[in-house]
Amino acid sequence: MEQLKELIMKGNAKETVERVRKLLEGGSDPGGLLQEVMIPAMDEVGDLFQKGEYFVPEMLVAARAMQQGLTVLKPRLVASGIEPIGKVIIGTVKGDLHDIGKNLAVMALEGAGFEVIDLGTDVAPERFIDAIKEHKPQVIGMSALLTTTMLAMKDTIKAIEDAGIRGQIKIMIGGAPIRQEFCDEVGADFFAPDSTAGRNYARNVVTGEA
Amino acid sequence: MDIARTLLKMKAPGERKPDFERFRRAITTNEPGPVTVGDIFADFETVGNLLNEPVMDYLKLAEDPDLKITFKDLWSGYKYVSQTIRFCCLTGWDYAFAFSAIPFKGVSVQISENTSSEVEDGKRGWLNDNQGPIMSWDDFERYPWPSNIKAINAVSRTMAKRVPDGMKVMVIPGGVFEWTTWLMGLVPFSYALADQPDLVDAVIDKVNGLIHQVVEDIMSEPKVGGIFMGEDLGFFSGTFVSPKVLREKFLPRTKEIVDLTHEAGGVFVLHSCGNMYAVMDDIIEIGVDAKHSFEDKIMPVEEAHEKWGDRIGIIGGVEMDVIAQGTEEQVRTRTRKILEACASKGRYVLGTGNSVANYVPQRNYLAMLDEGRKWNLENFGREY
Ligand code: B12
Repeated sequence: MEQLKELIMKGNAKETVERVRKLLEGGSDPGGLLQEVMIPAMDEVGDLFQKGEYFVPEMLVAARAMQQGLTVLKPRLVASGIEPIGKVIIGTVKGDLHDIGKNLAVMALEGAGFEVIDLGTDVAPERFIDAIKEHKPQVIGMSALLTTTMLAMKDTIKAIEDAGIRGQIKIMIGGAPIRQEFCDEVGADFFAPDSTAGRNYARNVVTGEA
Repeated sequence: MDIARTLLKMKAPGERKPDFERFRRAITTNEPGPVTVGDIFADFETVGNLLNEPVMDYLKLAEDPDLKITFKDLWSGYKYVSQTIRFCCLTGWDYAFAFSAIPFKGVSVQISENTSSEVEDGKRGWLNDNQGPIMSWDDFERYPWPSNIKAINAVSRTMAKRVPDGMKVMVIPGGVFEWTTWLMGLVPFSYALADQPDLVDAVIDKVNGLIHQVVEDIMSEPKVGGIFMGEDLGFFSGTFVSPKVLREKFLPRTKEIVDLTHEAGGVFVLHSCGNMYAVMDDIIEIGVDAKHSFEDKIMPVEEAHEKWGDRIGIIGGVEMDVIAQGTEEQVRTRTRKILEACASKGRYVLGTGNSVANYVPQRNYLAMLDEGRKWNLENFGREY
């Protein structure tokens, strides 16, 4: 088990897959593997990233190992009725095509056991609204790279309010130009300075702490 | 044009004579004096807006080597040179900026429309972080590396021949980290660091070899004052890759270019966005003369100047968010605070937090410049 954690943290995808397979063959409980080994591994990766000890490549390779490990684990999780801890819809706002910041946020959330519906980049307010109605998430995440494109967050939040569904969800926002003042001004619930903070906030939402 | 001149208090050309030595002094010594201004570049829409005439997006030509260049393009390109010089003269820069962008085939930039109504704006260009033209050894071996160094330097050279007396050109060739990650795609590059580090090294070697040739060639022009290298090493939380990787793979290559520039008598300025401060001492050690690009959210420029301003020139720092969407008054207040903290101690040049981007309203950019002249008048009895 410790070895699996290490493999994920080091981003060794091939051996992670083999290890998950072996552990399952050896009778390990899939839910236990996820909750006690794989999620804690990604938690630690996120914490190290936040502390400035891990960098973008380390995050990416660890997330790749986690994803590949999960591919093996998923069918067994489904079979044993284990559900994701919550649902998050995420996208880069309209007019903005910056992808990697949002993708790291997705990886952090998936690594924490969330089901994430990634709407991609250049996402118009209506697409957020349709997705909220369809998937009923607890949290919405929005990303932007520039002062000029982050203004679309304001329009999106307004559209969500106008659609009468603002009360059903919490909204977190992130990206290079975002500051707490902007978050307050547009009426978002949380400003995530990094992907780890986003993960923590989403967790707090589903446990009722936020 | 006349309005801009009036606003800039440059009723006749020549009232303020550009002087590259003033810029050099400002970034390499702590001698007190009136503050001078500059940035890595101004977007073409910004230049066109100030001059009140259309300016070609010259970089678009450079990005696509297969593009057919028409006579009209050539004419616009020729005009582009004088337009850039005029913009820099009018706004009080001591140098003109020129791109010697290496036309790496396949580095795709996706263009999107401006969507914001609250800030003046132009088109947006995005890189694809998920892929690049060199993701395998196969791609590498088949890659059509650019080789016509003279063509890459054509605009910079023309500009160097046309700048007015006193002015010099700061050439922007791009940096080894930026070009390497753009060629490989930031995400595939990250995987390759773990899976095939020798491929990363090979790309770095090729890229740096080209930058080296470009810089060597252009620094032979007497009116080229130096290199303004665009090399974003960080984002909000830290450097993209670990300082260890930067030290092993990238910074020694940058040092080569710094040395080359210095040997030719030029100055070397590094434009590096994000939280790259973990390698700030390394940057100083490799001999970089000045650092450009500061974000209040990461480290206000005053703090950077306080920490490093006796060892390296500090350029800019008027936060992009403020200059893009603040009021004129807010821009003046932010500028004034920076001038008091930094310009009073020297080794400082006034400028924006990143570049005079197309979404920076002209009135705000002019307010920043005007505050600089006011500060000069109050402290030194003259505007320049
Ligand atoms: C790389 C980069 C670029 C690349 C863009 C890459 C691309 N996708 O196209 C290039 C070189 C093309 C570029 C160009 C420009 N850039 Co730029 N760029 C950057 C830089 C250095 C890093 C951005 C990045 O890749 N970060 C890496 C990712 C991993 O970080 P991230 O996106 O911030 O995401 C993290 C967190 O924010 C968070 N997060 C993000 N979104 C979300 C969402 C949720 C829900 C959650 C929970 C978390 C979360 O999670 C991630 C991990 O922690 C930033 C500096 C900075 N401080 O970030 C400037 C920066 C964004 N650029 C800036 C500018 C000005 C420009 C230009 C206008 C310059 C010019 N005049 O041409 C152009 C505009 C391009 C355009 N589209 O029109 C300014 C913007 C200032 C502002 N307030 O508007 C910045 C801040 C630099 C500065 N000195 O001020 N840029």
